[in-house]
Amino acid sequence: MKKNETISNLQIRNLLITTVIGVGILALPNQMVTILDNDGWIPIILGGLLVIPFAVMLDRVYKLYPDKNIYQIGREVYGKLIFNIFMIIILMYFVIQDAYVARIFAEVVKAYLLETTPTEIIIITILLVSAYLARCEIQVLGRVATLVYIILITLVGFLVLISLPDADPTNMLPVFNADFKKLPSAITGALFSYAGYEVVFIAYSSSDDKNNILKYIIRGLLVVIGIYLIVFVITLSLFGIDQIKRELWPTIAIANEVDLPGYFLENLEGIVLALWVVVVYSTLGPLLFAASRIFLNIFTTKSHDFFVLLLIPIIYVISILPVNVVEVYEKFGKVLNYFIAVSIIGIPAILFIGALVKKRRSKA
Amino acid sequence: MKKLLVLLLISSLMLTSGCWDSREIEQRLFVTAIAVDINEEVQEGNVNRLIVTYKYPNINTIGKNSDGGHINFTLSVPASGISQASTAFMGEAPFPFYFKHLKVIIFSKELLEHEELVRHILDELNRSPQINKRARIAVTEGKARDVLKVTAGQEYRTEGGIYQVLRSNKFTNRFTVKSLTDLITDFDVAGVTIVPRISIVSGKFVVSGGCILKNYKFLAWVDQNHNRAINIMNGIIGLENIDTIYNGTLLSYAVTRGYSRKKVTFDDGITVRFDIKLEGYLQGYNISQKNQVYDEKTLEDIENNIEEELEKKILETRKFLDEIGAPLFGVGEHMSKFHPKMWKQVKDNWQEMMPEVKFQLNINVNIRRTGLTK
Amino acid sequence: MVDKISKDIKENVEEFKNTFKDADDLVYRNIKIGKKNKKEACLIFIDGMVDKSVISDYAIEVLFDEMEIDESNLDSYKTSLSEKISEESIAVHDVKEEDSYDKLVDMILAGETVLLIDGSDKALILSTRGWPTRGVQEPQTETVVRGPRDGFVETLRFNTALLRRHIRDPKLKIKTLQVGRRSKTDVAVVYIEDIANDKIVEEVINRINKIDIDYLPGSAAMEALIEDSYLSLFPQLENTERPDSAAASLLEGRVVIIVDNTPFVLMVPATIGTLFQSTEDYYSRWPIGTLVRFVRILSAILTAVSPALYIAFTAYHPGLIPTAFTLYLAASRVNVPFPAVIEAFLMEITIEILRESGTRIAGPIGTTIGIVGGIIIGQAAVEAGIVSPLKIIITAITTISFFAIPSYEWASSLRIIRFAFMFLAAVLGLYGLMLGIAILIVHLAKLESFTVPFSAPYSGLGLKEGDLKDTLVKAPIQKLKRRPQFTFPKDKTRMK
Repeated sequence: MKKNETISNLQIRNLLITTVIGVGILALPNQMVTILDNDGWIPIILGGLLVIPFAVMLDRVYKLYPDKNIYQIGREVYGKLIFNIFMIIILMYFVIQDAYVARIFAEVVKAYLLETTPTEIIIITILLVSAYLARCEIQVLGRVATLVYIILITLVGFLVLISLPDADPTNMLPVFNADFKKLPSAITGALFSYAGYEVVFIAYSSSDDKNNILKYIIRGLLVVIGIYLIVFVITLSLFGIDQIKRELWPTIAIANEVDLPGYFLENLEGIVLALWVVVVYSTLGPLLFAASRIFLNIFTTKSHDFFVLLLIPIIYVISILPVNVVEVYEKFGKVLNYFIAVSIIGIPAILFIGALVKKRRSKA
Repeated sequence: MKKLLVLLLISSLMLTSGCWDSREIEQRLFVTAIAVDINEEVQEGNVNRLIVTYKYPNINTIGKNSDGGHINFTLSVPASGISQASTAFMGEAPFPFYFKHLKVIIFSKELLEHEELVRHILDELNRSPQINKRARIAVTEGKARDVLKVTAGQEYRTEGGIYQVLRSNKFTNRFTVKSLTDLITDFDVAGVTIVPRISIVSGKFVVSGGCILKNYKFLAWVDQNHNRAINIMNGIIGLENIDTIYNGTLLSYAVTRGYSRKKVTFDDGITVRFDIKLEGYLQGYNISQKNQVYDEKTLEDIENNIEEELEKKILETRKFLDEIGAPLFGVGEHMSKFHPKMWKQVKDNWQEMMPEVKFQLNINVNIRRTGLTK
Repeated sequence: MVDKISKDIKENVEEFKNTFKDADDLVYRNIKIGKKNKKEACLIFIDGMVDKSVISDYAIEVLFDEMEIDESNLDSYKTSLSEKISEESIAVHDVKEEDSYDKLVDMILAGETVLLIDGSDKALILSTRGWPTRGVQEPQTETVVRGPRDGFVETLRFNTALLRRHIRDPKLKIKTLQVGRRSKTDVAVVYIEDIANDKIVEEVINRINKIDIDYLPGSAAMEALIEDSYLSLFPQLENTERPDSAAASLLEGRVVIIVDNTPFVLMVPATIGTLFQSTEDYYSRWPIGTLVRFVRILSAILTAVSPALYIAFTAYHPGLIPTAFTLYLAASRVNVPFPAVIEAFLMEITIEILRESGTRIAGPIGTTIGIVGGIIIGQAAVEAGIVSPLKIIITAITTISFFAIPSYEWASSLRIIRFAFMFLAAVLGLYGLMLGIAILIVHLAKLESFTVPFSAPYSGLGLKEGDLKDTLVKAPIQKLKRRPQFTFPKDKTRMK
């Protein structure tokens, strides 16, 4: 049935949301406040809005070449060799991002849930389970994303509810008091939290309603911005500016803080973490999927299952490279940032400019 | 075929794993209270400067099959840190310790005179993922471990009586409830904090008044009245009694609710206006034929009386705090949020400037009900 | 075996006798018809599968009373002998002509009577089916408090009649196919032509035609043979014994498959949303319907996850439950000799054994007795100190939740998943359990039921069209103006 090979726009939107929101949400309040104090919410919004033009650019590219997927377009515009090299860079980006997410996830699980279990086991298990998801077709990813979206919203709602009694909104003040010279570096920091939205580009060609995709992508980005903002506001209200600067993962620490013994609500981080496992899983899966799809297009094979299995040991090795948590965030993170810049900005911009130029040349 | 391989991989993983973190629930000791003292026998610069005491419940006494023994046990050991004490206990305790259900941490005043030790302990508590950050803090004049020992034999709940007292959030006016995170946040924000004081009186524990800590060190004790004033000025108003003398007799006013707000203005130096509003009812006066409180004029009169009394007490407290140099009324914090530019200027001299700040107290006491009689 | 029968009746009867050698329940009734030119005729039928009064009263008796068979007349009228007899001389309600030998054999085996006439190369098939069958009763597995009490029976034709009574629309199509080389079981594919999507109907018919098996034991076998992933733990078709459920599903655009010899009909496609629906919802008021649906979803979660949660929390993360509860748990397990994992597995396996043995006793009542007995044994175990009381309660909750789920197959899959989750939780605690849930989510998302995604409407298909109104909650009937989208129906409105 025709319907079966397509993915609905709603599913694309959910795919975007669940892929982007992974481990970034844990440390985001801390990173923003470190740079900009109480005004950390500004770069969050601006960073998110900054992604939109790139999404628009890519939409235009697709409209110029309807019914072609991104690899075909790229090859047409730039020629097979150059584009393949470009794709390999993007592939490396996906792989490194996957390793980064897996590693941070394992660190968090180790800290809160399983203290003595070796990190390797945690990483291997989550990678294997992600492989199960990555081996499916894009429609299945869309469906899983919709199901996980429900869990994500539940999680955020839960966090809001439990923090309301103890939250002190005055902690948000003072506003507009920070050193605005640091704004650009803050925005770039926030921008990296939106990484992962590129997976929707792969879903583009399978959508059942190509004209409206952009609307949904923007809606998805707005939801992500909204969720990041909500988390920022509640963590700041609950902790105050100084404690946030110290907490490594303020988002989970919210659950730690809640203590309403009269209502039998204590030690809630278990629930938060349990739900969050599924959220991270929905980030890892699509990234792995995207990486293996690139392989598929470079080597033009029928399906990408094989590449998924091939990639897993590579990702595993990369993820256990950093020696400790600090190295993960500092060195690894920095390397990743370069890749993210290339991917978020690079793909759309390059394709767009290239496509425009080609159109102009062919007209002239 | 591929499915089989993956399945095999996963299952071999599962089966060869050692279930690393699995431990039966009855094979853990749940520490509910910790006491930290100075170890007098050890000099500065060495390790093991603390004596750490753990209190954990005796699970045999819970539920139907209770064997009627001690409800809680305590164990003390010299150590250099709180979690490290559990290693030192390895030879004694049958099971490993588990800290996620920690409820109460008691420091001795002696300990609080060593700033670097306090900083070390607080950092350890903040950093550890295993310690429950909502544990309540209390300070005692003598040895902290004595407090735990005293209560261990007599309790009727496994969580400990101390916790039950410390967590009540309705009657907090005689002492200020502080959890670990509150403590750390206060030090960050203002450098001073107030923590409940717990003492042993004729074999039982009592929580009354508080202890002011400044810059991770002990500063002074405060009694209940001062503590109440501090709480009211900070907006922590719960069920409370205020006693005054009216017309020569004792009058009791019970507070049910209230709020207090601050407003800072900057003309000619810093002026802080406190708007305090209390709601409550008349609790006790004087039973006789003459004294009737059931008319508006009298009630207003009584209200004014209470307001004056309260103002007097608060200004007394303020004087006391200024003398010891402990700005505890939350003015600085307020300014840092609402008048950040001003705050930046005065932040470093706040200590000296605090006594110069003019207070305008606007107290509004309301007696809403007089009980069942007129 | 010959292809067609000949005009000589003796040859034909000989053929039949050969085919049915040693089948002593075949009856060969020789009669002579016609007043003047006595023609030989023979009725062949199987004793026990025919309604004998029809044969005697409406075939043989009428044939005896017969008019002239004048062959010369026949030629001039250009009618055949068999046609004349069938149109003028037989009072049976349905008569067909047939000359293929195999078909005639099939018809005899189906309970029809074959009338061979000497000189005619066509035989007549008289519709005389009748065999012992039970009457229409309330189905035992799907009872409702308020609603019709009829259920399907084992005869295909009666079942189709029961369906037609609910939908008196000429667009209700019933296509009959035969499945099984030796069983030749009749299978009817029922759908409403201008609602059901053609592709789905086509898919169903194709898959049924592809079946090559010798005996089709019932609808469960049919289910396994035509579903998308027979290896999966989850059912991808729904089944029911109630005509009203089947009729409702037809009106949603689904296809109903009726298999002869079983009262359970299949409904295709099925999704998670439909597996949580039960007929009871439609016969009570809507707030109750909504509440009950939430309870079902909760039960599904509980039955799959409770023992695993118990293991995760007691063995791995006692810090994640409130203190009073933790201490109580520890106290209740103080003298239990088994670790929590073993305790959990022990109790679950015991319950499974009890359940299985309860099934040997008649019907669902037996199962209940088994469970209650289990709880009593559990009580004794607690008294003896072998398991902790909390574990018994958890096992009880798990088992009772199982019964709150309307679809038995679906609940059974959850049973199996429960064990997998327990295992995962035993190895990796809460993390392991969540991994299991993640795998489950992906599997459900991958599963398709006749090209309709199994996890609709929760996973996207139909969300916009409001499918949730009838799956997650039960909206009042006035709000259900559109048909659910997951079947891609052609006619979208139900009500204006």
